[in-house]
Amino acid sequence: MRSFLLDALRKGKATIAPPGPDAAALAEAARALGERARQRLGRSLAIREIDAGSCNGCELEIHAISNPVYDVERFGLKFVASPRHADVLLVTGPVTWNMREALLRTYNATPEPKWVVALGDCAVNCGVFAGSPAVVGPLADILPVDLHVPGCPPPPLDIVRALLALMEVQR
Amino acid sequence: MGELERLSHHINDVGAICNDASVLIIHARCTLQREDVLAVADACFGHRLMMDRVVPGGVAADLSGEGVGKIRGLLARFEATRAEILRVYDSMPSLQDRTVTTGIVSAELARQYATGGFVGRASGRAFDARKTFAYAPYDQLDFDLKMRTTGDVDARLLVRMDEIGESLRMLSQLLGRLAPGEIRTERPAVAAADEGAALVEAFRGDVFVSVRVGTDGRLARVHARDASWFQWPLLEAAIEGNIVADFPLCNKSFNCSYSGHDL
Repeated sequence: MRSFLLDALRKGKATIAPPGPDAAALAEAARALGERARQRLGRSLAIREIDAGSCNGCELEIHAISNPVYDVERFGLKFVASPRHADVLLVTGPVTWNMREALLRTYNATPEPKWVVALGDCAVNCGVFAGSPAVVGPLADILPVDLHVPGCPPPPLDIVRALLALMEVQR
Repeated sequence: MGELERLSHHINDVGAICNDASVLIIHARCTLQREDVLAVADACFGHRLMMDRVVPGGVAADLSGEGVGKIRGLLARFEATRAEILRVYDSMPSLQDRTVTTGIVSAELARQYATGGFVGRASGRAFDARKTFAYAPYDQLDFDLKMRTTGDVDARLLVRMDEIGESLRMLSQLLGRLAPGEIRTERPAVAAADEGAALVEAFRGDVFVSVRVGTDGRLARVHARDASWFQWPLLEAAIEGNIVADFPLCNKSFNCSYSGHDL
């Protein structure tokens, strides 16, 4: 264990310099967030992740934003285990019939003010699953979506920059 | 690409198991090593998870000489991480206290459910599509089928660590044999209705895909079976009689696919 600590001291920190917010996401998030919300939330967002039927590729990259390289918690972005504690619902995958009800219940269980982020091509337009009989449709058909993060899956840096944009307009 | 993917997932799982036993420093180290693999994959093949890079008729991205150098560098760093994590794991009785004899899957159940991957191989089932069916290029590679018999969380973790060692060996052999040439051939036109099946060893175990093509050249029937289909039922057997706090360890030691199973 000591070797890890010494190694970390020798190599310096693995965490990258804070990236700037994504410009497109910034504009979209600015439209979505009202002045009232900015005052209430401060510089912190609690995120509840919902897999509405994804292939789990997006989940792999969502996990990656918590690793020491991206270290998303340093920005005040935190994943929570219940929608009751959440400000943001981060939804992946096309919405499947099997997950539709769970998704709606989760949305209804999230206190106001709340925002919905569609993460990955599938949440945006169903991606490769479009037209499947198991799929209801893209997320925007089911819930009001405040921010879209395209990609298959979006790389961690894109996810971080989009979430930072959401934080930025709150300030 | 398959072996690089295996490396990235196996090291992630080892970290996740240790994380559930509150050894965060190993987890941090493993996620850093995973990130290293994904960054190299992105630089070499243009996608971190190498999705859509294996296509009908070949591969979508050619590996450059520079890419070969990057992967060689990665192999050296990965081997150092693997050795250090094994050394730390072996020197922490408090961690092994959580993994040894936890979540045991009997050899009998592994056989009965035809469980592949590290779940089967940690319970003495010597099955690996890369060995048992030895499809190319595995028929030309020197590697061992790694197996343990205790069937606990510790065995599943160590099988992964052993397989990481074998994957590193395989990658090193493959990089030495790369020859210039076509990376993709045209897909032949389908003249008549046809059918085919394939079994490949993914990181979780054997993935089976069966495809039937109609006379119009369209897919008539497709069946894909992930390794997790035969692993989920055994998780129930593994957690039986264990304390609640050990459930996350059992679960992470299986790391079955949720996608396609419960959604």
